[in-house]
Amino acid sequence: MADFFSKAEVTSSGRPVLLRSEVECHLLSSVDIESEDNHHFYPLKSGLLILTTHRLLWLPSSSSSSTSSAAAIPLHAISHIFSTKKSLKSMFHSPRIRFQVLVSPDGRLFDPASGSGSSSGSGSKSIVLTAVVRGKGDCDGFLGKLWESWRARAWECNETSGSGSGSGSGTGTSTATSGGLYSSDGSVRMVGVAGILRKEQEMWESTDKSLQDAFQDLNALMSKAKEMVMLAEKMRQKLLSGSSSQTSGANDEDMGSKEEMQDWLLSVGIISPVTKESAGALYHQQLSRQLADFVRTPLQRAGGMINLIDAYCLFNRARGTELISPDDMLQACSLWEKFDVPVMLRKFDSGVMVIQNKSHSDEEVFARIKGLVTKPEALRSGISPSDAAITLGIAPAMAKEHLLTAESKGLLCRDISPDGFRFYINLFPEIDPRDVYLVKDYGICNTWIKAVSTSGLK
Amino acid sequence: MQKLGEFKLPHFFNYPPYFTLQPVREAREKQVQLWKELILDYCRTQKIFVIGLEEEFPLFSNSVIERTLSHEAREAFLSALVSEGHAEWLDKGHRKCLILWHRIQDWAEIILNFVKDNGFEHSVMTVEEIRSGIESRGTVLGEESDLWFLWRDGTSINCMFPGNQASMEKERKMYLTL
Repeated sequence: MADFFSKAEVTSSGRPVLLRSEVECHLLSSVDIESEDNHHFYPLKSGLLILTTHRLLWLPSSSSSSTSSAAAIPLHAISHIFSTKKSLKSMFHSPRIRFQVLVSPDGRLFDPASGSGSSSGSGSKSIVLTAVVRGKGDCDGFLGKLWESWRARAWECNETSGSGSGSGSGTGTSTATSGGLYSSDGSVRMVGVAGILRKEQEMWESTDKSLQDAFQDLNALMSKAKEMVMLAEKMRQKLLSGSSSQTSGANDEDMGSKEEMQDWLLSVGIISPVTKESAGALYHQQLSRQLADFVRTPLQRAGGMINLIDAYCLFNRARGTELISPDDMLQACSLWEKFDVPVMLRKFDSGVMVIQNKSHSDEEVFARIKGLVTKPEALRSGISPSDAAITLGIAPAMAKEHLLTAESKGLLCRDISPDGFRFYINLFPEIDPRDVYLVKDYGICNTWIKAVSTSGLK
Repeated sequence: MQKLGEFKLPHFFNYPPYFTLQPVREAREKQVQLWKELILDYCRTQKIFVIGLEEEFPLFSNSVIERTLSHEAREAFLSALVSEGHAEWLDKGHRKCLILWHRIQDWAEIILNFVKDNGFEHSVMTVEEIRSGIESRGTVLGEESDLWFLWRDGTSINCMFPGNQASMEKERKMYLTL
């Protein structure tokens, strides 16, 4: 009874894991899902109902309950959506959305993905589900969107063309890269340099066309978003294969720009951004969860800590459209305290704000700084924040914060001179004020004197 | 090891942070302490007792590492000496500082011992007699020092030897009563 619905996967921060090219359309909070006869499953009480282009997702509202109880209803399984009856009675009830779903013979929700073989209709019965909206939400809007998504049949699109929706760029690239004897439309293959050039030309023309289409206006861009992401993915693949096949001819600069390009293309990626329109009152909460999922990759690359401003830029670049304001970003980050997410917002004494992994420890960073600052060169002339930034692989502003924290812990000492602001290992605790000429045979002071004396200082 | 004339400098004189005022408390305290000792040591051995903050002072810059103490740092270190009784500002603007090789009560002790050693108890001596008498020749009292600088500067040093008490007043006056 309990597994009537198929399970919906949820990320560690409580956001649904979307299928390929699935986009969120609308959210409603405090929704119960009941069936008319209550035979098939226990009613789902007070959760978050998310409509996507492919599914209806129901997530339990409190993060305390296990995430495994999230349920999914494929839109595919819906056979009918009832329009709401406007009656006097309905005014006093919580708004309801009723729809009919197909049930497979084994008493579970019909799931096309399970591959049970039963085609829709034959041999299966259907039951009526009711979503009771207890919270405040745009119920009519939701119903409208549900109709829209159900009619659009986005899941079929996905099934028929494995990698693309038949856009110009898709076919263009496939002919160019397939390497088959015949092109896809059966015409004679083109051979030689002329053929390659021609194909290249065709590809660029189609790419150009889709770019032009996309930029006609923002709405067109939005509808083309999926294609653009796919195009970006293809270009990335091409770059990858290109860089591996090029052997000695590629110079470093070329490789550098390619890597940069790859990074750009990789960051195109959030297909389904949380927007105020779709999430409504739940906006900040959902944004917060999505952000938590998103920052994990940049965090990893940045060594466990990233500047809030950098994260903001990356996040907005990944969204492409539907940009969020810095205020929203800050709100979303401060909401993390309430959720069980693996990242946290941290404010340094200087006011700089960063996002860091909860597992991130200052000790580890201090150990690395100590390793850096005890190298002979650093003993002689200290380290600047930019030196630390290069070695630690983080932004200079952040490196400076780390160095200042290390200083306040007594690990480093500062040196301000016309050469700039530099940090040295802290020797003060080792110096004996009763005998300033005494140098112990061991300890950092001795190491320092050795390092300095080899540099020509007497 | 680096030297300043005949004066042997400690190793950390080449440690650049030694020349920057440290903001962290522990490091700052240690730094101030080390500077106090170094300044006193240098002044005593080099027979210097007046430091002008705006003038060149060999100890306050290190040409080897190209570091110079800022005015703020100089004032901080000398103020630390003043608060300990080891120095006195000679003007309100804190531009000149008198380094006391011995604190005033220590000077009193020295004079007291001098008087006792030479059997001058229950007698009257002028300051000039103490300063340039045969008895003080070869001792710390017989040479030019911060004590006589104070005296010439107008600080009254009254030396009367009737009793057995040594006292000192803060207002740069020394009353010796023996």
